[in-house]
Amino acid sequence: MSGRCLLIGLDGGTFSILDPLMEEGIMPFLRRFVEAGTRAELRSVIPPLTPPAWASIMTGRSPGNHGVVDFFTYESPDTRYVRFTNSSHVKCETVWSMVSRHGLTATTLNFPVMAPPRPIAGCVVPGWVLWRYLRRYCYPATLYDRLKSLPGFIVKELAMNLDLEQKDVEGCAQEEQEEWASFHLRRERQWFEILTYLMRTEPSHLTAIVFDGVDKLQHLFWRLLDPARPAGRRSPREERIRRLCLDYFRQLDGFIAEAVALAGEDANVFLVSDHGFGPSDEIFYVNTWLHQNGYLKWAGNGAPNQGASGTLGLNLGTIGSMDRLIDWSGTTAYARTPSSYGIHICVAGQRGEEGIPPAEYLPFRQKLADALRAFKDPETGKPVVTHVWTREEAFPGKLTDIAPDLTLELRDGGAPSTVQSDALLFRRAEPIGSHRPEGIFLARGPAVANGARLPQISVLDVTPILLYALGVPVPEDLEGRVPLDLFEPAFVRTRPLITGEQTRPPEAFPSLPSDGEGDQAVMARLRALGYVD
Amino acid sequence: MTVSDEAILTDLIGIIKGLTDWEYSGPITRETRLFADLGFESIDAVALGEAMEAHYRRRFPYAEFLAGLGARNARDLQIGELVDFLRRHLDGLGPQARLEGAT
Repeated sequence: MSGRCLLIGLDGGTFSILDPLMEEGIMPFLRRFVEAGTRAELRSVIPPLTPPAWASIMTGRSPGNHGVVDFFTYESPDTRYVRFTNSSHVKCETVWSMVSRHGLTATTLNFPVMAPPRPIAGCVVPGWVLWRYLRRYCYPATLYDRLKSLPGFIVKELAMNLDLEQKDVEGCAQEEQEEWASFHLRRERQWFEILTYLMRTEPSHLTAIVFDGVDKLQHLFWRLLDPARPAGRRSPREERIRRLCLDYFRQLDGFIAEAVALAGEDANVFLVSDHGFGPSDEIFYVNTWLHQNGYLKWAGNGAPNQGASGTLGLNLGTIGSMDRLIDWSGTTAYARTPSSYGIHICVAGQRGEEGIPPAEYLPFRQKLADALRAFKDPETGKPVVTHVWTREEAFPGKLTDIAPDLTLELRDGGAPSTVQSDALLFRRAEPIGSHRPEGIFLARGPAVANGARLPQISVLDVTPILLYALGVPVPEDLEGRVPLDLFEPAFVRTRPLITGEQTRPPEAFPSLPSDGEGDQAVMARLRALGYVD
Repeated sequence: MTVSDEAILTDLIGIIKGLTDWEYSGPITRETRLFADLGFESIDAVALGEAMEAHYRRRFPYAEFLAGLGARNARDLQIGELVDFLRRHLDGLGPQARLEGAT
C-alpha cells in the first residue's frame, strides 16, 4: 500500500476557462499545481453528461456497462416509463468499494448516483440528493448528525433543490442571477467544511469530492466567463455577476490549496472533470423535427407549447408528461429528455404495443439517422446535427439496450429541446454554456511526474490511476488503463502495475444503514460483504 | 402466497416515517393522503418509490403507476391506493419478498 490520494472533481471544469483564470491570478494555487504536476485533456463519455461521466470516473467502466446513461432511466425492460437514475442502477463496482475490499478507507462527497449509499469502509455524503433526504442517505447512518453541527451547515443550501437546479440551463430571471451566483459560493463552502472536517477527524486513504458550482455557473454565465467574448458590452449588473463568478473561482482555488495542504506531502492529488464546456447559441427542437418528418404524433391538437419557447424541456413536468403529450399510436421515434441527447425508436412489442415491426428496426434507424444528418439550417444551408451515433456505437456493453437508439451531437454542442415548438431552430440572444467532451485532468504528488503534459486520456482511466497510486491491484475487467508516463519513473520502477481479479458486481439494491447502527455493526456488515478481513 | 394488506400497511408506514422528518404527526391510515395530509411534493413521491424498492429489494412499475394517476388527473394519492399497488405486485412472490425487505 502507498500514501493517500485526494481526488477533487470540478464538475464541467475546462481548460478554456481555467487557463485564463490561472494566468490572470484568480487561481494562483492551481497555476503552481499545474507547473509542478502533470496535465492532460480528459475525454468524457458519449454524450458528455454528468451522471454517466461521473459513474465512469468512479467505476472505470463505460456507460453501456455501468448502466447510467442519463439523469433518467427506464423503469423496466418492457416499459417506456422513466425514473431518476440512482445508485441501484449502477451495475459496476465503484472505486470506493474496490479500495474498501483491500483494507483501505474512502471518503466520497457530492458524487452523483451515490444515493442510496452502498456500504464502504469510510464515509459517503452523496450529491444530487434532495435536502430532505440527505440525513437518510449519508453513510454511516450517524454521519449526518455530526455534519449538521459544523459551522454554517444549512442543509437546504448544501443539498439539491430541484427548483433551483434547473435555473442553470433553463434560465434564471435577471434579478435572481446575482443571488444564484452567491448561492454557489455558500454551497461550495459547506462542502469544503465537510471535506476538511472529515479529512481532520477521519482521514481516509482515498478522499474524493465534487465541486459542482463550476458547472452551474458556466451553464448560466458562460457569456461572462468566456475570455473569447468582448468585455465592453457588459451591463453593470453583468459586471457584478462576473465578479461573483471570479470570487467563486478564487474561493475554489483557496479550497483546493487548503485541501491539498491537509492531505499532506505524501498524498497524490488528482483534479478531474466529468466533461468540458463551451458556448451554445441555439436550440434544436428535436421532437418538432420528428413531428414534421412524420416520426412523432402529438396527442390532442398538437398545438405548439408557446410557454416553452426557448427552453429545453428539462423540468420534471415536461419529462413526466411526455407519455400524455405523445400519441403513441402514430409515433415511431421521440426524444424523452434533452440531457440524453438521444432519440428512442418505438418498436412494436417492446416498451409498448405500438411502433415499427422489429424486423424493420435496423433499416428504419439508418434512415432516421441519415435524415437527421441531412437536416440543414434553412437560413445558412449548414447541417445542424453533426454526428449521430447508434446505441451500439455510443454505449457498447452489456446494457446497450437501455440507451437511446440514436445519440446526437449538435453543431453548437448544446442539448436538443424536447418541447413542442412552431419552429425547428431558435437562436439564443446570448449564448449559454453547454457540455463538451474535453474535460481536465491534473495531478501532483510524490508519485506524479513533474511538469508533464500527456496526450488525451479518458474518464475511464481515473479509477485505474487511483488504484495504482494507492497500491491496489487494478481489476482485469476495468476498461480504463494506467498511463504510466503520468508517474515518476522511479515510482513506476518500484511499483509494478498489478492486475487483479475481476470487480464484484454490487448488490441489486443498496442496504441502507439503520439509525443508531454503531461502528461494530458497520464493520460486521463490511466483513459480511467481503470489504474488510 | 398472499401478502396481507395489514402487513403492507405496516411496512408502508415504516417506510414513510423513515424517509424524512415529516411535520405531520397524526395517525397514518389507508385514507391518509400523501399530498394533502402528509405534505408530500412530487419529488417526495419519487423518493417514496425508491424507498419501497429498497425495502422490498425489487423493482415495481411505480413510474407507470404515477403516470396513470396523472392521466386521470388525480390530485392526490391515498395510502390505501399504494397498499393495493404493492399487494398486486407482491402477491404470488412468496414470503421472500417481505423477508428480504425486512430491516
